[in-house]
Amino acid sequence: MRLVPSLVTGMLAALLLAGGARAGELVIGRAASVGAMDPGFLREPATVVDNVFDTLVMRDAAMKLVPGLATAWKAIDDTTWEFTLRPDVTFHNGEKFTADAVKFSLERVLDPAAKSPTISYIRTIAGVDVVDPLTVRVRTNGPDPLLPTRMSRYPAYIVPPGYVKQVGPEQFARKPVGTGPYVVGEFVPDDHVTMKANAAYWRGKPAIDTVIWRAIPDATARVTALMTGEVGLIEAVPVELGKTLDDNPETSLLRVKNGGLIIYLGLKSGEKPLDDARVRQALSLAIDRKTIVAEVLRNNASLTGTQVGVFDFGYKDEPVPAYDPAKAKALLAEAGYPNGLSIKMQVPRRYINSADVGQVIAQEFAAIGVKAELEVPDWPVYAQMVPAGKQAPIYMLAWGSTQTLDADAAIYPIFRSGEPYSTYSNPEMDKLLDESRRTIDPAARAAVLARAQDLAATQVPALTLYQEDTLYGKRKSVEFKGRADARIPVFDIRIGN
Amino acid sequence: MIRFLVQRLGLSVIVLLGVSAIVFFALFLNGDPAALMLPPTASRAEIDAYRHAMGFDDPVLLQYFRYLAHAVTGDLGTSLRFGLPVTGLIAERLPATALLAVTALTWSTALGLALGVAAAVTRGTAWDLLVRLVALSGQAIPVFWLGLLLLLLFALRWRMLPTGGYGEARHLVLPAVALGAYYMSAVTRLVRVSLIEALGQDYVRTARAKGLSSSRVVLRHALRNALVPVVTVQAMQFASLLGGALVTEIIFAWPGIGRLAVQAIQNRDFPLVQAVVLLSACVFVAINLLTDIAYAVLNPRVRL
Amino acid sequence: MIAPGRVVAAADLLIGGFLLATAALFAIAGPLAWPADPMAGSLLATLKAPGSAAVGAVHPLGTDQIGRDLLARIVRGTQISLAIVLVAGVLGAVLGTLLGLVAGYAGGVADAVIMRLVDIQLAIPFILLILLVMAVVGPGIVNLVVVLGVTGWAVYARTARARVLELREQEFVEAARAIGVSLPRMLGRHLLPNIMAPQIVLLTLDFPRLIVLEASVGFLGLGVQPPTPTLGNLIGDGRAFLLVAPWLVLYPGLVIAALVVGFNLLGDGLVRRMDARAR
Repeated sequence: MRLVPSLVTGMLAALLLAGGARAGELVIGRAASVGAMDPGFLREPATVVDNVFDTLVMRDAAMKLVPGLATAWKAIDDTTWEFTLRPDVTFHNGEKFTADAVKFSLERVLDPAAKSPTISYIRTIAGVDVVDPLTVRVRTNGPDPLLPTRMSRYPAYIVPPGYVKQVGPEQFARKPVGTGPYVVGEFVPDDHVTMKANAAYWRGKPAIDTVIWRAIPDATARVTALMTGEVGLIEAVPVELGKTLDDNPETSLLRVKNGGLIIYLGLKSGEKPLDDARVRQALSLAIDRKTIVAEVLRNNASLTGTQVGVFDFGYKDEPVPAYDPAKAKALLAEAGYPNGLSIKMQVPRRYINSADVGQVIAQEFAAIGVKAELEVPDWPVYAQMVPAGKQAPIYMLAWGSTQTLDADAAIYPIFRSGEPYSTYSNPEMDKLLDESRRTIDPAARAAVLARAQDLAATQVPALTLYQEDTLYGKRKSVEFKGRADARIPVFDIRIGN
Repeated sequence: MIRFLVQRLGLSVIVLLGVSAIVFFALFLNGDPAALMLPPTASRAEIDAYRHAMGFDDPVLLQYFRYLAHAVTGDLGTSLRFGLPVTGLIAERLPATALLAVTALTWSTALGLALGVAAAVTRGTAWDLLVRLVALSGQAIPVFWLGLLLLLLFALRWRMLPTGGYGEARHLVLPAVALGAYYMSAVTRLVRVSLIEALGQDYVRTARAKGLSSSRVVLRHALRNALVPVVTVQAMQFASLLGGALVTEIIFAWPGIGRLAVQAIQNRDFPLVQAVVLLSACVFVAINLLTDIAYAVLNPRVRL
Repeated sequence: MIAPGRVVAAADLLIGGFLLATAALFAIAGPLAWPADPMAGSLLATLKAPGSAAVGAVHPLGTDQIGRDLLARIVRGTQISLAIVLVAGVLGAVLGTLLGLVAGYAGGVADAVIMRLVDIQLAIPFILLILLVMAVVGPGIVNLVVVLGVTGWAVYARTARARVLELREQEFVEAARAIGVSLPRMLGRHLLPNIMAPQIVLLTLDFPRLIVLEASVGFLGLGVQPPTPTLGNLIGDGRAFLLVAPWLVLYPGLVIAALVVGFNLLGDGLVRRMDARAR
């Protein structure tokens, strides 16, 4: 029996292990835990592996694309992009980084037999050709202006072909090897990951020697751990505790405005009563967004009138939807519901205080005579109900364009008819969205996207609520500004006094 | 004895078969793991291909027999979320839960015994009432409420102990106290009741009449018999401990099987849930078996 | 001299009965005495401390994160939790007792099958099984009651069977069997009345387990859906605010504790009285 000795040693180790904060060490508390670390096959955010692997293209703090493992890239023709690779980069195990690694890394994700959960992010790639050890070409199925962007995020992290072939995918997910600033040490799935600085990193040796990523699912415990100094940086600070962190002389709250997703209530506009635009407008008018953001989200969100984020290409500054219950009642009556109506509504406990927001909105709907029967579904179940179209007629969801920072990613999937996440069908909207995909000229494309947003503002295909901020808590000594793409690049973090 | 053992083992196998069937079929009442495990932007075709590759589209009975056949060889499947064999994942978490459970049971049994004996020998007095009140409140407070209360006072207010985590002795204190309180109360009540009963038995009276001192009577004779139900119940508790550990581990971020199980349920990680339930049933069955034997040893009146 | 055991039994019954009566009164008469709306509140009065007055209303136990009156929510939560636990408990008791009767009286294959089912049921940790089933069938009051009830049958079956095995050898049963009494009549008229009392005591002692189970499921968010409160939901939802509004967790917990102590004392008292009678 292998189990018994491992049990005993495990218990002993648990008792004897010494810990505590040392200089040059940063402990980061996250709500989510790390299950596996193969960057091509992630089923969770890439926050942690992002520090182990590099991509060909990177984004700087201002979200501008900058050279990563590729020093330059250009489009050779409509469907081919050429990347010039950085010389003299090695993986943590000493393996050399070359064009073969790029080809291997992309092809193993694209291989249908590998069933990568994230294949759809790079599905436009038709093939990868090695030109010479430091030049690689990526062919796409059609024109894809967003290809360099796609090369800046998972699953496009570059992995070492030799090591992966040698240890196999299972072991690779436990003990990954990349070119990044940190080398994975101890990894206990769903508990913690310890990383050591990569002294030979191509951008220079990281300032912080040791990083420990700890999973602390309970929000209160996470905040307390920060206040007691057990951890130096935490993700997902509950909005009620923001002030507590700011009041504490040793900690501070870091708020990244417009860093989060845009929350909306999806409406099944293909069926009664939501097929009538007046009903949808009435529902929109019934919601007091300003008070919800102020009181339920404690001002940790921005009001917005469009599903497109401020940083996205094609953003149009639409006015925030008005709050006018009297007008809402009138519209309902005009639409043939003078006595109100009953409808089901689903709100998952997924976003900032979302279940509370759902309860408040249900009360506000009741005030205009709409009796909303609320359900708070388990996220994993709900996440499969929505694309299958099995959700309630009114359902809360959040969408964002962090993949590409482009309006297309923000509205095409939720407003284009026939898309799995869309419950809206309007030929005029479809025409605009399709046109934006065919348009190459940036100015013309922005104009088309703006028209689509205007149309959404009047036709109300969904009730846009607000854009969440991203909240971090940190010890005052930790120098971190937060990023709009929610990454935590420890390489850029410093620990002061 | 051998016949007894064979018979008990046979029953255990039947029970485990029953558990595996219940757990397996309960999960197939609904849910599409394929759609769940792929990202939101995956196409229908990708989901279908994945489902087929994982065998989720085979007849359910076939899937069950395949599962059983693999289980016999020690292969309980691969976790959907982690992409690793579930047995390995569970083995990894076992030390944490075992450490927590053993600590909680140890302190609760020790303190429970002491309090129970104290209450029994001072039966009917204010001291007895006090012990009973402590025991009652220990059983009355749900483990998650006690856990939150401990967290609020010792970690948040007074900052004496960490809020959670794993690896050092100080991490163990709060979860072990929260988890053990209920069992401490149960042991106290049980020891008190069975000791009172034992003290009323003829052989104790005889011993007393023979002039043995009170404390000797209690410790040597009565307590020994009173321990029989305590052992039985504590053994049963050990298996049910996983239930309490589940909530405790969630509150204190303890990386054990309970947290693994809750996450697996939330993620609809079928193979992992099945394995955790099957494992806890195995523990229960094994402990029951051992209890039966211990029972026979402790109490010679039970014939094998 | 009065035996101390008797005094304790009487005290148990008295205190337990008092606690439960208070809780019942709280649940039933609470809404009349305290008419605040448990389902709606004002966003201008969120997370107010106990005793504070806001937006023209006084909140003796404070308000929650969206301004609802906590006292009103606890009253409603107590009602709902008690209802769930009572129905589920009775469901499990009836189911288990019937199966136990059949197993004990019929013996043979029926007995073997039912007893194996008991073993199987008891081998799976309740909370895990309940969470699993709730996750599969979906949350909701009806589902929760059925799941709590159906998973609770095994203990009743075991005790009912043991008692029937004893009764089967007794003269009145033998006599009834001799004159050819039908099976349902035998079970319903002759055996059931004789095992009712211990089964009811068992039920009383089972309620605390159910209360805590319901609360645990609610705490983990798989039980009754918001905005409907139960004692477990209240604690589960309040947990996020432990640092800024501990009353959200504190008071519902006290109610749970009172209920559990009440039922335990009542059950203990009943056991003692039965024992005294048996002697």
